[in-house]
Amino acid sequence: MITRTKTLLAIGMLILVMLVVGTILFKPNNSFQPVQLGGEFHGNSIDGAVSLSDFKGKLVLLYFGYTSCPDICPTSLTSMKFAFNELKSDQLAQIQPIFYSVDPDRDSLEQLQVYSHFFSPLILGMTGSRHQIDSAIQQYGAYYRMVEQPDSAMGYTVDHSSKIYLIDQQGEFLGTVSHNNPNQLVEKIRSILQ
Amino acid sequence: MANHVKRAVIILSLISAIAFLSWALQDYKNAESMSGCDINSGQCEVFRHDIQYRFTLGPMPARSLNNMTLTAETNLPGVDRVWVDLQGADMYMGVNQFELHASKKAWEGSTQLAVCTTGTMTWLANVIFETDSEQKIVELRFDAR
Repeated sequence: MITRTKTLLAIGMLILVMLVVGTILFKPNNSFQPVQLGGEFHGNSIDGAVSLSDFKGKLVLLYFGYTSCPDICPTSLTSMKFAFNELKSDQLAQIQPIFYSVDPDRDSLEQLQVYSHFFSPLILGMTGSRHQIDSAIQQYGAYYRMVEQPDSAMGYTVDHSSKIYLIDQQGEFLGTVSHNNPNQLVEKIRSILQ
Repeated sequence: MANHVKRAVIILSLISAIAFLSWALQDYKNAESMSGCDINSGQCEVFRHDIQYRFTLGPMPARSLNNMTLTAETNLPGVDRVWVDLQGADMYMGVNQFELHASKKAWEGSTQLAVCTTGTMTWLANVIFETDSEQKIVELRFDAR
């Protein structure tokens, strides 16, 4: 009788443990939570290694793209240029725009500097290893994908997110601004630098 | 071990397990998803348990990198926040979340499908209605170039 009770007790406890462990491992959860974005990123510009933390004290405007981008990237960098034209010199001294290429196979560091400076000498052109790029892309909730273009001399294009990511003077992600709205960008910059 | 002690241990274990399971399943109980609201025409409605959810999205047809405005109306009581999670139906397109703000009649917000893509793709906009204790999630489906 005692053995039977012990066996039942052991089976009961085993079922309980399995229920608890199973719940922890396979907890069904169909709720949505806001994703926390931001964080340190790394790469290289023509002047050497670059990290977000290099720009502590400045408002960083981060854009992911590539120099062969037919229209969206020029539109975005032109939007930045128009926004910068509306800012005072002391405000310009407090910002650091960055063009981060996701296409390092075609975008050399020299080419990135020339391309970025064509729009504004303030814009830092940078790229990184595939690991550095993917890490930055993931941290900021961005996206890119190489799309083969067999009939084009380019060989491939890159589908990618087109947002301007704002990062405050302490390195904290603030939010995004539309890539083609310089007025909104100016307002945002002014409100943050106040 | 005395029988009454054994019984106490078993009862305590059962209570602990039930309490833990209730806590662990809390999110699951409090989140309800509703799918299949095709909003390609610019509007759609969903009814569930006598609660109505009505949406408009425009301008349609949707295009990547253009501004879009989404409005949401519901008679669900106690809604204090409405926000949207946009995803590609067939592939990951990054994190695209935005808030809807309360206006007189509805919740309203604007965004862009801020991804430069090749060809047409299907998007899922999960609209999340939050109250103190629950989330009601309506999945809107639309195509964009």
